[in-house]
Amino acid sequence: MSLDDPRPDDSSAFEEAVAVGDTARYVLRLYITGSTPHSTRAIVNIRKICEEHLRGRYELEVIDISQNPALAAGDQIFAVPTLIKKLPLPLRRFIGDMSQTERILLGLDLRKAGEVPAKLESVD
Amino acid sequence: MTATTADEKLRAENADLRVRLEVAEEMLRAISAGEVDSLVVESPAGPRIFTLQGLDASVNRFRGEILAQVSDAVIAVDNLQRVTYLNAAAEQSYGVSASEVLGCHLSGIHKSIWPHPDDGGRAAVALSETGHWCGESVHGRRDGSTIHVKSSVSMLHNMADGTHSGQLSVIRDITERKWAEERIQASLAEKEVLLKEIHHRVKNNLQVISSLVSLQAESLTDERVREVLGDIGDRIRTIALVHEKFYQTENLAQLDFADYASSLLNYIWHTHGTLAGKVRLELAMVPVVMPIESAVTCGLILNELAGNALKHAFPKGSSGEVTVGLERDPATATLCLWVRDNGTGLPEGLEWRQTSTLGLRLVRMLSGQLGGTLATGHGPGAEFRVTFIQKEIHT
Repeated sequence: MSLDDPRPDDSSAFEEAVAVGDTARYVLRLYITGSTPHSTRAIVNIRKICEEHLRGRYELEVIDISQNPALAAGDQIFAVPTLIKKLPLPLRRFIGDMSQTERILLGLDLRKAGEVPAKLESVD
Repeated sequence: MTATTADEKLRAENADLRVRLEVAEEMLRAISAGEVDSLVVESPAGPRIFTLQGLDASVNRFRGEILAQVSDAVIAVDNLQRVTYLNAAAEQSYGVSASEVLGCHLSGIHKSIWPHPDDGGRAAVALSETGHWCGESVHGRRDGSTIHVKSSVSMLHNMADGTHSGQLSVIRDITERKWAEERIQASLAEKEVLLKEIHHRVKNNLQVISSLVSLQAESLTDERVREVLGDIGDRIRTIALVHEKFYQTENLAQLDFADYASSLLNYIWHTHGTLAGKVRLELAMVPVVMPIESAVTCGLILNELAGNALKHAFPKGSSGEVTVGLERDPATATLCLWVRDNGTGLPEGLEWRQTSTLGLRLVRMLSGQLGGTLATGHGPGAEFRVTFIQKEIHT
């Protein structure tokens, strides 16, 4: 069985997943390397997103692999910064400084495709 | 049956490939957007981190190195007071790690404790009006401990449109300095108390000597010896009074001579009650501040001149007036202490400059000690003036 579960094909299952997303608990892991600019921005941006959209129902673990690269093996990390959504399923990964908020909200199932976005700030 | 299994297998493979493709595309997108710090690469020695150098990598590294070296804490926040940057010194000062507090509210790092409740508001106003604020406050750390700090805070602006984007603070821990200041203040206060104590004890000791002299005088029958002992006692008490004034006053280096003189003269008139009944005392003194040595010397001079006038200027039973004055010329910093009476005046032909009576000899010596001059007036009655320079001491 692969680590990444297959994405559901039909829309009803998708909508169900989105509905669950309104109350489900999120477990996120952010891999960074020390205090480089992208890593710093990634932490700030992800925390912002979590506080604004997942307040009280998320767990964010920040893992610094600069001292111990072996930590990257567990979630098969190749590029840093990387954000892994472990829960709710399916597993998702995002790479970069997390500044493209809309894309990430979509990927975290916090936005329906085509929904009009609210004005959001991100650190560039 | 087999068709469906094969079908399912294909579907599963398809889904699996799609996921892997998405991950690869994601990686490519992030790399080409320049958002990736480093890559994890397998090597025979295990996973290794390869850092990607961006265009401004060297600038960033340089800035990073400066901020890492700086011993003051540097913290940047956005408009909502969420931390966007903190340097190594900040992590150390507040006992936090960057990955813990980045993106969280500033209160996750420290709380601000102001000396007065309005201070926080005033600082915010200054910051919004001038874009800058500098001042001292107390920060409470997460573990509950507090540090005194001096902060320099600037507004940050978006480069594009100049709107307010956040704040940058440079924070210096001044706890040690504050503590040292407090220690110094406490030490000074302690010294002041000790100094007062010393004046008090000196005064007491001099009173003891003076009392012993009086006691000795009482046991004697020779009137002249009693008088001499009485004079000695008076002179001792003149000095004791200086110390008493210093014990009472706030200033430990100087006293107001006019105030002292008035107490001294009251005392002299009091001890020579019978004579004093008919002789009026007039004071014409300006307030003048003097250090202790000058005060003692002038006190002794005054004791001699005023005492002499009271005892010798007026034949038995007659009334009269003694005037004591103190003037100051600010231009030349010259003081003049004089004693005048409207009594019989000095004896004809008295060579007072060479006279060997103890009293006048003392006055000449003491004037000399002040670096001043002794002169007589023209009459009627006797007048003695002591003039000397007294530089103002500013404490």
